[in-house]
Amino acid sequence: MNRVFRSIVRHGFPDTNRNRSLAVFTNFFLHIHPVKARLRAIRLTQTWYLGGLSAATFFILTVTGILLMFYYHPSVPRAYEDMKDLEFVVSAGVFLRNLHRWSAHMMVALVLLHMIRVFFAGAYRPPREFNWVIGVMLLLGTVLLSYTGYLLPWDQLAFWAVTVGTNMADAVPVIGGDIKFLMLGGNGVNENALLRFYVLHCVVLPAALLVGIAVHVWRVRKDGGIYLKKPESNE
Amino acid sequence: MEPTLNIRRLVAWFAVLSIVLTGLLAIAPAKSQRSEWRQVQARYNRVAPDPVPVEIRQVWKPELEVVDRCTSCHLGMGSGVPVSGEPLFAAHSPLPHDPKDFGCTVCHGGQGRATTSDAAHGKVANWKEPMLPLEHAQAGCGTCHGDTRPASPAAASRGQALFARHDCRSCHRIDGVGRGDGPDLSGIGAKGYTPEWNLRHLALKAARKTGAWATSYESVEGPHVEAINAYLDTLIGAPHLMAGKALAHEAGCLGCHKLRGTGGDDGPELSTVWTKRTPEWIAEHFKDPAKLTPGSLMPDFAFTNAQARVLTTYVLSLRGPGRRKGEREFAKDGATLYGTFCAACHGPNGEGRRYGTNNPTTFPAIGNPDFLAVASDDFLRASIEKGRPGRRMPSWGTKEGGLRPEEIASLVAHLRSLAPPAAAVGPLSEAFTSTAAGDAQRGARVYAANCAGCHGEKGEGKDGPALKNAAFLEVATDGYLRATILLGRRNTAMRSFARGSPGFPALGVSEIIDIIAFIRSRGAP
Repeated sequence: MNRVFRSIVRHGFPDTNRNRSLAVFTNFFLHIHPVKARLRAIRLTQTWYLGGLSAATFFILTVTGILLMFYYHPSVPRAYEDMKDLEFVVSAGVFLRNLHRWSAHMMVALVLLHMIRVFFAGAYRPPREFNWVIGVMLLLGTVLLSYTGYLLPWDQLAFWAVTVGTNMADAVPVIGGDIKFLMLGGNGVNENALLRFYVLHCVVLPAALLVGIAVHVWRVRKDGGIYLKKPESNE
Repeated sequence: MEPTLNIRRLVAWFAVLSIVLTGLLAIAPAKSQRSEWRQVQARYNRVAPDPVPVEIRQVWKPELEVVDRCTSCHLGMGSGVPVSGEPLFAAHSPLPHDPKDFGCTVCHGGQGRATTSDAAHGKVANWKEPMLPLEHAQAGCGTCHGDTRPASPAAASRGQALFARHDCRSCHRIDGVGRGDGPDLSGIGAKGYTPEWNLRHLALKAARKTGAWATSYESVEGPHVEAINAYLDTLIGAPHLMAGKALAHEAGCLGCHKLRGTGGDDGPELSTVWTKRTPEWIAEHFKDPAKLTPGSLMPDFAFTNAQARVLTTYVLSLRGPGRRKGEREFAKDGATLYGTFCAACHGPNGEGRRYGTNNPTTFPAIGNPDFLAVASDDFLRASIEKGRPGRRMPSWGTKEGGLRPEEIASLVAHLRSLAPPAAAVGPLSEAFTSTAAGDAQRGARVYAANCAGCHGEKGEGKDGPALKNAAFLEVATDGYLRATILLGRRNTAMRSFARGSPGFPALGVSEIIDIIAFIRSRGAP
């Protein structure tokens, strides 16, 4: 028994600095954290944990999104009816949908606040300028996820929001028409558009976002952790 | 001095927050355990003799696109035994369709998938098909049976009288009225029957030489059979709906309104009214259109409450697919066509109408014997076909959603039947044979003195019909105009100018010819 436990947990009780360090870097989930951080860096008022909270909402969205996928068919006759079934007969289905919806709103807000915080802290300056660019791409990914998810209930709101949105793309000079065609998989908001948005929403964009988040966090570590204004000050 | 972290306090906070979060997450499943339908079924199990398992119940008919969960609460109409004294758990009143095979929303509307009271009954924002009020429940028949046609309201009511006269009720019952043990004929119009039932009855009479058959049945002659069949067609188990439909085809709704693409252009399309208005609004509107729609062109028909109610039922029934665009719902006989398209403006018997509050419009009395005596079939046909451009009369022959040539022909025949055949116009024949040319300038003076008061100074029409109308002048021959001026129209403001009257001396033939010349000159394009 002890051998099995030791094969999984490879450090002693984390009451010494060595064991605490081992606890962090032998654990897959914890090793994204530095083994040691400045106390100032982990204070709430330093970052308001906006990046971490964004990631947390992404986690909630992934879990609830997968559960919703069990009840959802991306087809024109079924999509709206599946919404109704979630609302009326799936146990806690309303809760599931609301959790997904509010987390989605929350994520967009948190990512924006995170960028504002980083901007006013001046944390986009070298050596973190590349990570800023990745962050901008993650914002774009978040907004696209929000937009593609909007069509999936296949109600009037969804239909017209996507009609308006793709017509905005249509207004781009020269290539606008092609962009719209590419977005919808056709010339109108129909079953092709629904399928396309579904695949983007459930596979392509989340996968891209996950990779982006991994690179983003990795770069935070490589660029010396959280940006602190006065790294020389010793508190 | 490096400040230190109180790890234990953080862990404690983490533990407390985790428990709070778990508690909060438990609220959602707990709430779904206390949902409306579960509470209803729990109550059912308290009052019903046989408890039922607490679960969602639904009627699922993919071919009808029905997923109705209504029976989750209305247990008496589904898997449970009806409980008397509990309206929610009552049985359905007798009906031709078993809800187990058809669901509920097909007829009643509402949101079948919903399991909460408000949502199920369609009382949610923007729900496309709220439940029909119970008093208009028969409008639900229209979902599938939109094509039940009121054969001809006149024939049906004649058939009803004949049904009573031949004492068919001595064997058959209709809606509970009648005696004997012959087949119940309520709903026979929907179920279908042999139109040659008289022969079958005679054969049965011959086969059974004794009893009620031998003594009661006498052969019914052909025209009576046809009339009775027209009555039987209306027996579809929805008397309110059929009454509303018949009334709509007598009152002349399609003269102004389109129904699935056929009808006039002055009012809104009828089959979509239910999407925009509530049943209460529609019923109120029937009683006084201008009260709800200021400036409405729709005449006040002075419908009674009962009439407004059945008409509302009919309008609500139009929500089903029914007939396709362009298909005719109405019967093709002249009387029905006249009731459907003409009666609203020209009156049920062609006596003419005058309505409108601000700017009253007069509609000609086309059933007037004096009019029918001088108007040729060509005049009638051309008038219906081409209408009176610029006036309310549409061009039924050429407009979109108009009438077909054979329908116009039967309308002309019906108009002819409104008045007895005209007597020959003897003593006035000189007026018709004179070939003298009229003088429009002289005619203008005579016109101003005699005609302008009603027909307008320029013939634009006031209380009387417009004369300065190209379509009218095209179809009206000189003979028609001369005869009209000479003979006038009895019971209307148009007097006979062959005879003098106080204030209006009799006109000579030349004066009449001058007037016609003047009218023609005004109407020239």
